[in-house]
Amino acid sequence: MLKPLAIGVVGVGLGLWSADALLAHGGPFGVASVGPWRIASQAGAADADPYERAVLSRSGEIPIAIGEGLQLVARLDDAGRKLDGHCVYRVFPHAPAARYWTLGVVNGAGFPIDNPAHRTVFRSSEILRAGDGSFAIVVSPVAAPGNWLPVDGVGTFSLVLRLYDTPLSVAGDEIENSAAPTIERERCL
Amino acid sequence: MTPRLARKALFHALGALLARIPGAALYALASVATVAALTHLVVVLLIPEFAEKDAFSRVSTLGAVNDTALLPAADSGERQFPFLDPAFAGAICRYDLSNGPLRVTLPLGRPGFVSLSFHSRRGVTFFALTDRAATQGKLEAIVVTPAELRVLEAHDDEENPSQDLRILSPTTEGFALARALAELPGLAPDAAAQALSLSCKTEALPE
Repeated sequence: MLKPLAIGVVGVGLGLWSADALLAHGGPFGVASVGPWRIASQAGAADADPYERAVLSRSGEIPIAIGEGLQLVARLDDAGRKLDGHCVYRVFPHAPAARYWTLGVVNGAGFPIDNPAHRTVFRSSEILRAGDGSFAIVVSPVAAPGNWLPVDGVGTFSLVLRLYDTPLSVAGDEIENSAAPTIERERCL
Repeated sequence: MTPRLARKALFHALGALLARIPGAALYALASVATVAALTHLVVVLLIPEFAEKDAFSRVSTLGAVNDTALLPAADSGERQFPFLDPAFAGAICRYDLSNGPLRVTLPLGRPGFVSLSFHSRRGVTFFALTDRAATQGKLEAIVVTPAELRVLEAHDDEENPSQDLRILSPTTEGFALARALAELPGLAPDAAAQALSLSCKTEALPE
């Protein structure tokens, strides 16, 4: 009598735990990657997999639709290390083709991390560029000349690159590694 | 040890371990695994049905049906909608098609990126268009249920076809979202005004 009960309790517990653990990390499927950038390709689409739908219905996120653009999220730098709020990063030199793009800093839950400069995002329409059209955005806890995106005394963070009116799609392998910006860690403080 | 060798060794150890476990315990283990797998699947599949804090529920607190309301700005400190772009202003209107089709209009008051997307009660984005698809300086569409679409099509005049863009909503309830980019930080008020020009009106079906 006790044994079936124990099996039930342990089984249900394991099932709940595994579902929660998987969903906390954004679902296991439907993700394409370009260098350090990951794209939840099916987010919000009618044929999104059950994990993706469960993740969205818990977080309240309203994803960018395929017809509007693409959202790329990086939690790691180019060398595969977690993005750390105590380090200085350079994001350069080009972004994939798009009418507009923005690069922002968010915490693990997807919310911007406020800072004294109130600078949580850079738009393609406002950044300083070199003569050849390339750019470098410095993500750093200390002020930097040029395009400085502050991270203010946080532990780990994520970078979000959003492409609007982009000819790219994730259906094929259309996004080449060379097209996505590099995230280079320069030094840590 | 290479990862492959390590894996092989692990499998061997597991095999040896399993062979030592009495049949009854093995049976119990298999039962636990089965119950766990079933629970996992049922939970994942049911979460969207019972989620009380999904996007639609959060949007519903912003305004009544057909009312246009500004989404809290991404960097306002309000933690309702993750992964919103701080460079954008957004406005929503929630709809309920049980009283008839919904006409959604977004006049474009300024150049720059503007989009209009449609979201079902269950979080599916079923249609989206950007300012590039604008006609006569506006984005406009009629959101319908399958039954309403049949009525509209039955009344279509073949000589003089309707110019309306008809969008089929997978659920009776849902919401429309207008997003407008502020190309520079100082243009945020302009982007908010652009997003707020979203209008949602229930229309009567033809008799």
